[in-house]
Amino acid sequence: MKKYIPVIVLVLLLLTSSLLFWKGEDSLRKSSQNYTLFYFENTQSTTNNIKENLSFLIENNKLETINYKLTHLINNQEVFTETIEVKGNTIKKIAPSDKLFSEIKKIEGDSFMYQIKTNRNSNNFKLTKKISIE
Amino acid sequence: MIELILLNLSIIFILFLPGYFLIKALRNKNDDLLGIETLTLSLAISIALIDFIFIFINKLQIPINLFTVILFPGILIIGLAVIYFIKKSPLEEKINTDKKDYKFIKIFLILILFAVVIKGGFLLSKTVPSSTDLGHHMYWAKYIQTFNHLPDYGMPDFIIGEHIIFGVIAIASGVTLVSTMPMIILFLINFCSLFALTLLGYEVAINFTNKKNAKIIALLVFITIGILYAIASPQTKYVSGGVIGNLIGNLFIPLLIFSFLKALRTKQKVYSIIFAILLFGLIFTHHLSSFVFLFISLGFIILTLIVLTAKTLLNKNKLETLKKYYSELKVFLNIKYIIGVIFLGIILLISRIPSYLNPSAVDTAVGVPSKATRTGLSLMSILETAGPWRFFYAAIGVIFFTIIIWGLFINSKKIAERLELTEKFNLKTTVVILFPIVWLGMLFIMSYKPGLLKIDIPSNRIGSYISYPAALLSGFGIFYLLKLITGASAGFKKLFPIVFIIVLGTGIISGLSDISNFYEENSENKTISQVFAGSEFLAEKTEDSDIIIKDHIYMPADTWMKLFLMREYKNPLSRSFLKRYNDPTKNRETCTRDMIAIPDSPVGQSCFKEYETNYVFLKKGYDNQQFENSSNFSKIFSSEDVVIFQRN
Repeated sequence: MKKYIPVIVLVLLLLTSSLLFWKGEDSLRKSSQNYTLFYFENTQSTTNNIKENLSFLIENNKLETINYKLTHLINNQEVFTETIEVKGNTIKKIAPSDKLFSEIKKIEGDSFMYQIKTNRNSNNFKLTKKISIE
Repeated sequence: MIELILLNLSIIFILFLPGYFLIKALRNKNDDLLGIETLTLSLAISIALIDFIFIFINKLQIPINLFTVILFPGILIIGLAVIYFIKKSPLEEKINTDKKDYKFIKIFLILILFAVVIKGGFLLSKTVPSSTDLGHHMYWAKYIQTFNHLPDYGMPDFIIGEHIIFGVIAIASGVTLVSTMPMIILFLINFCSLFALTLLGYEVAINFTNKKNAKIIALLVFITIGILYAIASPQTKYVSGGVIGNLIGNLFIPLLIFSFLKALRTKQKVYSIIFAILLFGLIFTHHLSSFVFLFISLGFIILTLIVLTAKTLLNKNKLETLKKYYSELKVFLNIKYIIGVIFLGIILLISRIPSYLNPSAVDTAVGVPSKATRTGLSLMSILETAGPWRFFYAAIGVIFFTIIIWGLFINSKKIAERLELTEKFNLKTTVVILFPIVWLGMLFIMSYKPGLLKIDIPSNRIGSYISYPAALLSGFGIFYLLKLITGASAGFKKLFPIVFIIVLGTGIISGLSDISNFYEENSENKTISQVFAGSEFLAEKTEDSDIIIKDHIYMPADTWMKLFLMREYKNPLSRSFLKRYNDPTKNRETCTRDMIAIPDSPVGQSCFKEYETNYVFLKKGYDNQQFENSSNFSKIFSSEDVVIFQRN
């Protein structure tokens, strides 16, 4: 009996450690299923491809589908609005539509903004330097 | 699942087997307390040996990768195992379990289980990595994993022994450091430090009382350190807070004292060798713990010399007494041992000098206290740190120890009989009684009046060490208090149950009050996941030359960003707590504050230029609105809780 005490204690400690590790992984997995990310794709691009520079991603880590109202603003002027559906656990890539390009060409200056409206909050994305209009 | 199996195998391979086989190979006689000694020493020795191996192979410029992480500890383990199996005697393995032991084993196992439940229950809610200190430390562990060599810190704040084991286990297991893995290693270290103190309690007691009493004392010590005040610092809160150095220090210091005392008692060389290994292990792991141990040792040597000199002067045959003392110390004072220790020290110091061993770092720790936080804690703060109940019984323990040493000194039969002392005055009994008193006494002076010892270190950091000697002495205090009552007249004996309930009841009220927030799911987990997602985004989208600033005030787990980026230690820059920018003793940089607080002001803009900062990482709702409105910044990343801006 005495001989096995250290083994029993070590197993007990390793089992507790394993439980803590499993709980940590589970908590991270669950908490990362609980939010949505919005970000630009390839912000470091050196090309002048407007589609590449302005496209951005909505990464929906939630399980349910979310609908977003996407408003394109140029110099705070609304130029175009569309509805985007992002299914649960998917990434939606969004690039300016043809209609938006035609609007941009009419605008002078280098400020461009996306506004994404969700049920809970709004996300304004502004990118200025990367825009190149020919 | 495979990840978990690999992690457990790596922990056993790196953190237990090297030490286990070293003990097995060198120990001649097994008088281990339930095998707990082997388990605890295995962990501590393994930490030290793994540090030595990788400090040495790093010096030889051999890369630290999966191959070498398996190879070198593997060679050591196999080598020691071969020695063990060659010299293995059947007698050593034969451990008889006395019937009386079963009761002790049962109680001990129940107490261990109870301590596991308290600590594990608290840690269950802290499993998502977010601690600031641990984030800083794990950057260096990941540095080892990523660049396959040990870092040169360039600052005295970090010591290599705090990072090697984490880096090596990450390499061996393949488990990411951004996980619960670092915390569970700290949990094992902390738990074994409870065993270390229990073993020390037993070792101290066995030197002057019988086995039965020593076992009861050991159990009481385990209760006072492992069950009562089990959450408060420096216990489980240090585990979740990632205070690596202190946790390892609190494992090594009791084991250093334990191996010293056991070497004196048993005369087994293995314990003097373990003492040397742990001493160098501590030196290469934590500056403050080494500093504390140095002061304790100095105090102990001075006090022991005073007591022994007084006794020698009173003896008729002085030369004979001195010879006797020398023969008792022979396990340390022999030429082979001294040469071996010097050789190990030279090899290690040639391989790497601890970063804190430089004149400027020593200057900042020694001298007249330079700040209000270094001039000492109030008595109330010390009581709070040690645990008021524990400190009270520690004071009683000190009184009993003083009576014991006095009783032995004057050879009082009455005291010996009353306190069931089995030994007479000698070097061993003097040492075992003085060490705990000096341990508590020195820490008390260092944290209450550091100016007396010319110590210039934040007093609360020293104070955090006090709970270990306080727990040890309180175990003795409670034991002898109850012993006096049971040994008293029949009338007094009747009071025993009432006294017992009062002692334990007040202990439970005081020591278990901090488990009220036992399990509380961290509400910030969702935000932490988003901080990690934002960090991954920055790691992917930005270059090494890009400078990022993040907000430490409001953003959780911000220091863990470093592990995703793996750039210079100081990139990302950090907006710290505002009080840190107001230092009356010297001018502090304020740009990290101004870049976030007033980004569009001339000051803010000039700071952005000076630091060439081009990305700002913030928690939503805290200072981000001015970036939203600014024409100087563009938002490039957003989630529900965090946001990243790029400077235009």
